[in-house]
Amino acid sequence: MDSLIEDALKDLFGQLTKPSQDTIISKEQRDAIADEIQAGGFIDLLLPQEAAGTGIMLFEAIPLLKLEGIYNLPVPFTQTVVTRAWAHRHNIVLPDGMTGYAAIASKPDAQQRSVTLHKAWYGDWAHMLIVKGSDCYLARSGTCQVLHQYEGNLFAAISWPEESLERLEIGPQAAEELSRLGLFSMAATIVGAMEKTFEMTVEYAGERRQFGRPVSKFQAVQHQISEMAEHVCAAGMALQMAGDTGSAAPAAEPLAIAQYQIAHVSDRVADIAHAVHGAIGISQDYPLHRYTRRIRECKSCYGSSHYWAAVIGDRILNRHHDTLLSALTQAQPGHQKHK
Amino acid sequence: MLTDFRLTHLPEEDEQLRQDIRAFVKTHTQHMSAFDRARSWMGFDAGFSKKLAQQGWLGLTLPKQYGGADKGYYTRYVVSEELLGAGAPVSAHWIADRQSGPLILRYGNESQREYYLPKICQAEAFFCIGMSEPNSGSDLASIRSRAIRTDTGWLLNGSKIWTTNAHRSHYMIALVRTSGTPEDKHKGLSQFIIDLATPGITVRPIRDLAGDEHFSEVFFSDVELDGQALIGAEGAGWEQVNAELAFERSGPERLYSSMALVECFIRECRSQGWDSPAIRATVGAITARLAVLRMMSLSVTGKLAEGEHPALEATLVKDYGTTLEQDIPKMIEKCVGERPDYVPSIELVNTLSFVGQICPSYSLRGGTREILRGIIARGLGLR
Repeated sequence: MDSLIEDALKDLFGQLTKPSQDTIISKEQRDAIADEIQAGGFIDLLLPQEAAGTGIMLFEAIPLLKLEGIYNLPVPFTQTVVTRAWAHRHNIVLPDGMTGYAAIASKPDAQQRSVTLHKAWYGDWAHMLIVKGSDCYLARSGTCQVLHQYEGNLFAAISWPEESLERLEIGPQAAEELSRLGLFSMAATIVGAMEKTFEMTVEYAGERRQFGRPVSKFQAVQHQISEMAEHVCAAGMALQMAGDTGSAAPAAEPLAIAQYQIAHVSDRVADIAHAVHGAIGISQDYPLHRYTRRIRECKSCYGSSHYWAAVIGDRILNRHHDTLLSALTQAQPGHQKHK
Repeated sequence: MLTDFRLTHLPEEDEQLRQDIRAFVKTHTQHMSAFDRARSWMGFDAGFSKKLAQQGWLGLTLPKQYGGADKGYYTRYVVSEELLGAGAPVSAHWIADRQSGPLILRYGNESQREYYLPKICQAEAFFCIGMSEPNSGSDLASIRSRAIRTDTGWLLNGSKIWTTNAHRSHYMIALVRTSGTPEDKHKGLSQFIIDLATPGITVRPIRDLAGDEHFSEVFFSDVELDGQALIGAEGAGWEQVNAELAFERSGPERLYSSMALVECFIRECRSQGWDSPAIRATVGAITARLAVLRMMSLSVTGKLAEGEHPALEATLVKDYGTTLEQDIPKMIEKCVGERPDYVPSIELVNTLSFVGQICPSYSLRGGTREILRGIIARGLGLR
């Protein structure tokens, strides 16, 4: 069933992103893309079947959640999908539209009575953001002020007047679940972007000729691409480990591992892609930079590799008398059987 | 696209074995320091191998009729992981159990199977693999050792080098030329099982940079082999060797070579109360990378269990794993050196020094990093 949806989404995303590959994308184009996705009913695909979703588990949805990155979709499809499923589980009614997630880095200003985010994912465009501080708030785009739109359209600095934030009545468990899903969906889009970058790099190395042969025939190039393959495979595996959950959201430890692993390899993946592409990869017209920008700018959004490594290390060091081998080989409770 | 690493879990019944093996290893390796354990699968103790055999944990994947346990790849994974993760001295039986046994089962004739396999399962036949020669390392197909057919079998002349455990094994499975010349490359190579007690064989151990003797140089001078020495088809040596390498490259031995050092460092941090952001980040980074690699390695095992041929994935995991194994001593050294006022234990200093010095071998044995990356590139269609 999910491969049918995957094919349908690939077709749709392929069509939607085709005209925009070489141009800066406008607000109207993004609106049109979002409308098409919503009209297809795809933003509710993680809802249970009785709520008109597909009822598939997070793990099975991984290939779908990567597509935003693979197609460089200019709207927060992945976060919308997981957030809407989360809202449904917790009886929160979300307005229709594309929903982003933002955490922690908000800067409340008591004097101005406003909340500011300096790096909000699709912040200038998303229909709404759920902002998680000590409480969770729903922030609609209509009331927000865009302070700065960063190059590449992925992030913006935005601000809301305090009174326009709608506090969501949820417990700490639901808030934690949302936060993990937000992290996970960002990770999925990064891995998608990595896989696309890898594909482009292999293809380009076979096409580009220098010294009378494709650059893929040079050992120095081959070895870099082989290394890139390893990193991309590791990132993909880390994502699967985080998605391998018996409940609605990733468990803390595998999610931390995935956050670390993906952030750890991100720059190397992007660097090799650019090294192989040469100057064309730096040009605005060639799409490589759209994907490498995603990889670089998203990798540390919710904590750098250093941050996550310290979180993991802290847990290990505090498991007194336990060997690392025993921590590594401990079966994850509630993991699913995958075929 | 190459990224087909499916998340794979160990089956419940194989996981159940884990605690028994762990308890056994704990009991029988109590006397070993981290410095000893850091030898990993180069640590030789025939007595330990015998005890493992008595538990029925050797030849796990071999059929019962030959003394094996008829278990699958997953069982072997759990056992290997527990042994290597603890730095148990498995070297004596390791090659026979991992490679030679499965090779004999697959390519050997019935009398070869009946003769060798029960001995392997009982830890009575230790094997080494004769591949490299003085002028044939990565360029393995250029080997010059040659076996010529005689009325009674074969006459072997030549030499092998860097052969792990040749001086303390009973048998060698050697790749030698049976026809053609080194210029014929892969063609004309065959595999032989050589009893190392045969007249005409001289073994000279080579001392390594850490002071250990784990590999040797082996000289063959008019060595007479009987007809039963040839394993598999004459001239099919190259294909057979490559099938064998898939077993070698896929296992947990590419994750845990520096594990004794990691465990030693973690114990030391806890007991001495060492803590800093760098220490936490280092332990976390090692943990995360090991966890992901382990699942990649298990994914390869899953494919083997399903009857697939994940040679390319195994190659990728090996290269990635040895990279981490080699990064570990550097990462730990930076932490220890971050605080010159710390007084690390002699055990930690010794183990760190050993692993730091020996770790270049991790990406040499079983195919160098450069060879492996070439294989991956070929798999990606770049060559």
